[in-house]
Amino acid sequence: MSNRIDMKGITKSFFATKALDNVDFSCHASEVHALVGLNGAGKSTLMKVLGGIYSSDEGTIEVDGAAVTIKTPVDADNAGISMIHQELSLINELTVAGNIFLGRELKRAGTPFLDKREMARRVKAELDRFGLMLDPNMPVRELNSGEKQIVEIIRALMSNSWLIVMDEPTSALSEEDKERLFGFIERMKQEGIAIIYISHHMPEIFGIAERVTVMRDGEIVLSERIAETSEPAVIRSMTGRELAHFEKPHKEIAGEPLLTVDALSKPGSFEDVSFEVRPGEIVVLTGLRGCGAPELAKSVFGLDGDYTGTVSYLGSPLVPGRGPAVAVREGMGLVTENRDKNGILPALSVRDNIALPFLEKALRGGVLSRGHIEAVVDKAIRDTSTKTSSPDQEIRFLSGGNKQKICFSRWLDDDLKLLILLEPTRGIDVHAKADIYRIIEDLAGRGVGVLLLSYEIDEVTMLADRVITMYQGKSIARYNYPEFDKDQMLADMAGARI
Amino acid sequence: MPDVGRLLREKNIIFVTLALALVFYLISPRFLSLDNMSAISRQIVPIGLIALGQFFVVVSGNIDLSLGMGSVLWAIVLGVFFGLTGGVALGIVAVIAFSLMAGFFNGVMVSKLKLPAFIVTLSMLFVAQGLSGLIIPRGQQIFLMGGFFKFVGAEKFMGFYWSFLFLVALYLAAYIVYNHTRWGAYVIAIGNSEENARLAGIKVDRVKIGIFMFSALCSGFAGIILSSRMGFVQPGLDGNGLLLDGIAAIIIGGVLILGGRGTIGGAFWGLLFIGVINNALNLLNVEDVWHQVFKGTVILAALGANWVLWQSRQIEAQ
Repeated sequence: MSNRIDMKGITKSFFATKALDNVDFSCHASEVHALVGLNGAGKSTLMKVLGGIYSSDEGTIEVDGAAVTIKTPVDADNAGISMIHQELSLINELTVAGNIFLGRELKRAGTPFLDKREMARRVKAELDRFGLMLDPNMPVRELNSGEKQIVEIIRALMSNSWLIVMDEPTSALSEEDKERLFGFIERMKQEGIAIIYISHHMPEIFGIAERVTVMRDGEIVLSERIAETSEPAVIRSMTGRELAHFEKPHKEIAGEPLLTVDALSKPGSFEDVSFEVRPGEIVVLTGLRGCGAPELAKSVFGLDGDYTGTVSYLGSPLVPGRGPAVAVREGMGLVTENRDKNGILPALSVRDNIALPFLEKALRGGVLSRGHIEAVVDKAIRDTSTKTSSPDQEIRFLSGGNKQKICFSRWLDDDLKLLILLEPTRGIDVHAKADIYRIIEDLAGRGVGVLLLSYEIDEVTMLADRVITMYQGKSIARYNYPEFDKDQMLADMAGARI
Repeated sequence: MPDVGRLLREKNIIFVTLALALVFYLISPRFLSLDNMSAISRQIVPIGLIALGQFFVVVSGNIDLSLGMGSVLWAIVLGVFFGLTGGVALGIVAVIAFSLMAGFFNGVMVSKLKLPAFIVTLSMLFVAQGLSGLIIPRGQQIFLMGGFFKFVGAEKFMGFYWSFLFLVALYLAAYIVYNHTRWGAYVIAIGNSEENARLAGIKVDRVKIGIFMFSALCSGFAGIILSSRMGFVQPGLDGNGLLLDGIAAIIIGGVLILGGRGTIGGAFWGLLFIGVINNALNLLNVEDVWHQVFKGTVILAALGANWVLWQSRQIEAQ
């Protein structure tokens, strides 16, 4: 069968780093082509080139054998290529049909009025064609995430797209919705649609894809028909060569557990998870997005009390959902994954951002002690090697890495006993990453227990004293330093059988 | 069978308004007399016009604080042209033209220069207030007499004031535009997510400018009707009271203050709610200061109840 889309020799550099190096990628009609790789392997960059968000330095894109120029998202749209992102781009308050026809509404002939009936009829016809049950007149806000995804795909199909790129489409879906999506994908294949399917879930890939391509460090390392490869082969090719190791300092982990999590369950998020964190120990939770680890970490911190099971801290059980104030007072800290939203107060200075959790401790007879705050702030900036022109600088002007360091530095006082970190290096450059790893190890060296969530396997194995892999809310296995088997960990995370 | 519980929850503004009217009737039977209802229908017209303009602005995720003082300025512009020419035609043309220009200016500032609507329209509020005092010094007024003002301010058709009929017609037209044209869908889309609207190919800036021009035009109409009803214009008129009543009306009517959601019908009932309160408190000779306190309390109670109901529905839905 001939390729409908053919990307040849795609190369793309960001400054000195080659994000894509001479990549060939193609997709037939009626084919699901799975694209796999670790974070940073180049999958999204490749798809952004295809979608016109980035333009490549070298290489060509052909549609049905004819070269096309895709420089903007509009070009991609005109070429019939649609991207379905994890963050959907629907308007909640409009109906299903209203969303599908948004921007190209049908009007009753000769009037300025919308022909809602005809729009609903056409949407219904398209839904029927794919065997989908959905009311075109239903407001989108009343749909669940699986149904919203369907609306988004139908919108793409009705604007004459023949290539659909899906980025981790099942990460937010229930089992039932997944089944429906797979049924829908089968029907699309029958209709001749080509689908590029980005996922880490091996069972899904081996269930619906015809071909699988694995990327690593900006290159294609494996591209096979599904029938001619296996789950272990795909997993192995994802990890490949070892990265230069960050020297993990030697340390003693001893003493009573700081934190004991026993049989913690929250319906739809995590199920029967138990573990301990001892002083000086770095325990890493890892899995795919949607594995339930962030929800778990937030429940431990007391942000969410909607769980069963117990969390004990310093030997006594904690009240579910007690809120951050109690946690902070007792020496438990949290650095969230979304620092711009939950981490920093953008309009305040570096000083105020650092001092925030210390204000209560800086009270001297009911008055804030300026000297105490200055001392804490100066020490924090020094300890984290944060680059800022002065403590008075507004934090929003700092780089991502420096913002993250400040989120950390808030917790670096002597009372800290347990620090919970969610994706501490997300969106941060390599140099800042090394600084952050150093801070984490320093803390552990001082006897602070660390509970860390990371989706990056190299980071996981670099930092952890113990790793707990999670898949769909369940803890799958645990690994103790230094017996880390990356392939097995990835297989756990992807729900694969090895 | 209709789901009574659901109806109560979603249309509760109707029941609250009717219940409030009943309470006022029990206190003073005169409240529901034909004369008084007719008076209410006339009193709500300026608020209703400003509320309608504000409706589209708020649904699109913005706010227009200049509508109230704007209507005072437009009333004064009308008065000045009447004083100069002795007629109304030129004055009305001027009000319409100037208000559209002011709305265009607001819209460009908000869409092209990306300034927050709150800041742009707050500035325009002060400009309108200042210009009003500049044109007619404090303590002075221009009297408006003649057929047109009497017609707009006091004449009826089949028992209804012309001004009220105009308001109803405008709400009906707005209903059709909001629910049955592209423009209405685009206002909702922009209020939900400007970025997604842009991605769908909507010319967001153009729609926004249109929204601000319409709201300013509404404040122009409000100025014309306000001045006709009173028979004079002066810079001390309470434009900001009008603005706040208008915002209260649409919020009570279920418009989400953050944008993206609201119905014209809801806004109309919210308007009646405000109209009933304003009228009843006057009728019952409640002192002005207590008038405000009472209004604030009732609005808070109504919105608070609505919010609690909404939250319980969210929990149900899970």
